[in-house]
Amino acid sequence: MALHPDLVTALDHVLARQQGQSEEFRKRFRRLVDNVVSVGRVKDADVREVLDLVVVPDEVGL
Amino acid sequence: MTFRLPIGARDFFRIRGGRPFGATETGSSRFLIFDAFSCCLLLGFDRRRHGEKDQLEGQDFLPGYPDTHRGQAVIYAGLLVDAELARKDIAPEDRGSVEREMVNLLDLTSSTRLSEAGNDLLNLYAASGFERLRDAATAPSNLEDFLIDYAQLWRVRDADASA
Amino acid sequence: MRVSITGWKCRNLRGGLREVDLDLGSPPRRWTLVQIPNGLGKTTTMELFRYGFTGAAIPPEVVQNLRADDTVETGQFELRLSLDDVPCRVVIAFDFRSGAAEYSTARAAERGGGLEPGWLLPEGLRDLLKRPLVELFVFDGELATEIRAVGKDRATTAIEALYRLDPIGTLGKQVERLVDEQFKKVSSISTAREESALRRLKTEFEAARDAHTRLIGQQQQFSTRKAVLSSRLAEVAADIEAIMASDRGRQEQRGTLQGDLDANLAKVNEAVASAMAALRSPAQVAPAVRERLQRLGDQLYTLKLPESISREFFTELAGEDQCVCGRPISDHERGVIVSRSGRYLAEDQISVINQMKLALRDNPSDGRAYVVACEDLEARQRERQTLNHRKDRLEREMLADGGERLTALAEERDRINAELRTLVEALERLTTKDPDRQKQLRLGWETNIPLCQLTEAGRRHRLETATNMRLFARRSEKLGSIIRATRSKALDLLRERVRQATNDKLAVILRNERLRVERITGRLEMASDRVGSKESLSEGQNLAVAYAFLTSLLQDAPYKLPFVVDSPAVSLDVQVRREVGQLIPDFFDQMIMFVISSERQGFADAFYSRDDDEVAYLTIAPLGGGAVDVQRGKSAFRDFHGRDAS
Repeated sequence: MALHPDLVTALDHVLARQQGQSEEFRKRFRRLVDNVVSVGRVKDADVREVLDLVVVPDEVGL
Repeated sequence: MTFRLPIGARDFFRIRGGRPFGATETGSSRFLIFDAFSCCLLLGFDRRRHGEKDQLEGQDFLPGYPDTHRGQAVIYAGLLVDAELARKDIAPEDRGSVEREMVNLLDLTSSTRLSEAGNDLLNLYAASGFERLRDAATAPSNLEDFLIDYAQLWRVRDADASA
Repeated sequence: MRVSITGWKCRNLRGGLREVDLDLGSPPRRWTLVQIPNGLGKTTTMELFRYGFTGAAIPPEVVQNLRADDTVETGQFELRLSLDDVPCRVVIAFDFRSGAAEYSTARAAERGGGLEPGWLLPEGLRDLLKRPLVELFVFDGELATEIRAVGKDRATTAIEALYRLDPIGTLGKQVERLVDEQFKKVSSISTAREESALRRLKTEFEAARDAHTRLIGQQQQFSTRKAVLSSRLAEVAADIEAIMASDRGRQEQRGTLQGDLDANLAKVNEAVASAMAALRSPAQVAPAVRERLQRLGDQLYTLKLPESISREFFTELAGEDQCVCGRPISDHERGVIVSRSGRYLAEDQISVINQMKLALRDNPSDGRAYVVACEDLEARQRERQTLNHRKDRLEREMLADGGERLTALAEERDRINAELRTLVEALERLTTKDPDRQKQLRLGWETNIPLCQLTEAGRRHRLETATNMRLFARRSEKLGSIIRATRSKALDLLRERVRQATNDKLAVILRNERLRVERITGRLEMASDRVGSKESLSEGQNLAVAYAFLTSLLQDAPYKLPFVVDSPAVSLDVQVRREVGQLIPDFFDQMIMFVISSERQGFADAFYSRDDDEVAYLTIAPLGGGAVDVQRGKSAFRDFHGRDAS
């Protein structure tokens, strides 16, 4: 089932405010939401893929 | 188990990387861990006393006689029988008891010629012998000194015995 | 997906539901008006619809209350649906004796349309159809007040369920679960989660790394120095030799001495080898040992042990009928022979003893070989000592006569040797891999390179793990916040949409009242143009607001659900009825309305002018004894003078 227009608008609105994130992340996130709404659940592997794309500011590390 | 070292023997004989006294020679002239073990063993037999299981390491250091000692298996078996007969104070005429001891300790099918009970006892005698060695001699720093000290032990013992 | 009700059936249920089978057609008409007096099972039917739509467990008391009378033991309710034009039947079988209710489902695509046990609506629908939502489209007018009530979360929950925001919430939980799982996986290596803990791990790792660098530097330094010193030592030794060589006489003596020392070394090695060879033959270690072995052999001989007769002899004998002495062997004797045979040596044990005796005989010695070899060794050692002393004395003499230069060289040689010894020790400390030696020298990761490498690697691993874990956790947090923001924004937009739509309808239904939904939070917060915040409304107003809200809610949802309502207009005044009757039905793809005769005016009659193809009229009248009569058609509907069933 296609996403309700208000849900699409919400996605647009929220993602527009995520300037730090990549285009790939935005695309994959939309797809994730689409899948979870139409199918009811998504695989852990799919969520991890999207997680890997999330950009966070640098911190201490190697 | 077959052969187990008494606890403390590795330090006494400076066994490092499987070599006592840092021996670097190869071939039959190298002093083996088993050589150290048999030195303890002979002293233990001589004492007519064996030690306790908790004086031994938890693992075998060798699964059977090394090539250098293979021919001597029956000799060690005989010495064990002799030591046990003496320890248990069995009269030489007591045929039945002597036979019983031999039945208990010997087994031709094993590579050590000893039964399992015999094998266990063997290690305990080594523990007792090591006690004697440690009490009598300061830890030698090289092989030559050890050989000489060990000979001295037997010489002294002979002198005591004949005194 | 579009869900429609195409009919239902009741059997052996009370009220007017003993024998009811209503077919609404496939596809059903858009609006179905069912005129049915009170007491004929209207409420029961609604409740059964709700069960059919939720598949919920039915308590035994409820089941038993459905029983038509004592003459029946079982009953049934069937709800016929069309899901995107595919027929589907939910059947509930009642056992009035036990109070059990069992669901089964017939799906056109499965099993040729036969009944399968269980409530088996499609998965998406299943997740959606929970009781709170179902009550909104199988609607009891009394719920109208609840939608507006303080403290009830109905409005927001309905929006979330219907517009599928719940899965998005689940997504957020899934992210949280992945973080927890990941954390459990790595917690054996590191439990650090905070930035401060990470910084500490980094400091520890850097300390190990720096120590490693430092130790390697030391090693190189010492190695280089050792090489330099060794090469200088060789030079010095060569210079010393050169000078000493000029002292011909003494040089010759030195040569001879060195030759003697070499010969002595060979003799020492021979003596060691002899001693070891003797050591490996116990009979040669000491006379006492030899004697004992000898004595044992003699003793055994005296005792005539081992017998030439062995245990095997007795075992075999026990198997015979006759003894060697000729007498018969009975079972009793057999038993004794076998039990006593255990006392005798087995053949192999005999063999060991015989071998021992043989070995002794073949290696005659007086048992003194070892001691003698060691005496020789001692002598060789003393000889070596003497030779070394003479060599040293000779060298001292040569030094004394060799002049300042020789003396200086000798001193330098001694200094170099001392420093080399120190370097060798230091290098061993730095480089030894032997754990016993490391313990003996009390080495740690700050003083020994192999240990330092291990520590560095371990700390690096912990830091990496913790860093990755933290990164994962931070990413999850970020994603979680994006998910929450999406959900929250979507909810806001949907609430606003529903609010607008509700107000648009209210503007028509309650033309004179100007009632508005101000805000949808957990409930509907009303405002009126005239009075400000309006909290208490009349029953009719409540109902109107509820209809406006529900229709707005349901009309746009991804799932098209039928709207079933019980007495939709009873408490509305005629004018409002008219508005509701004209406006509301247009918002649904399917509506089923249970009305009583007194509602016809204003509400039902609003349908008369609609297209006949779109409206079904059913009139249900009691026939007595639980039986009912179903009449179809507008005229029967219009003319019915209903009386409540007694």
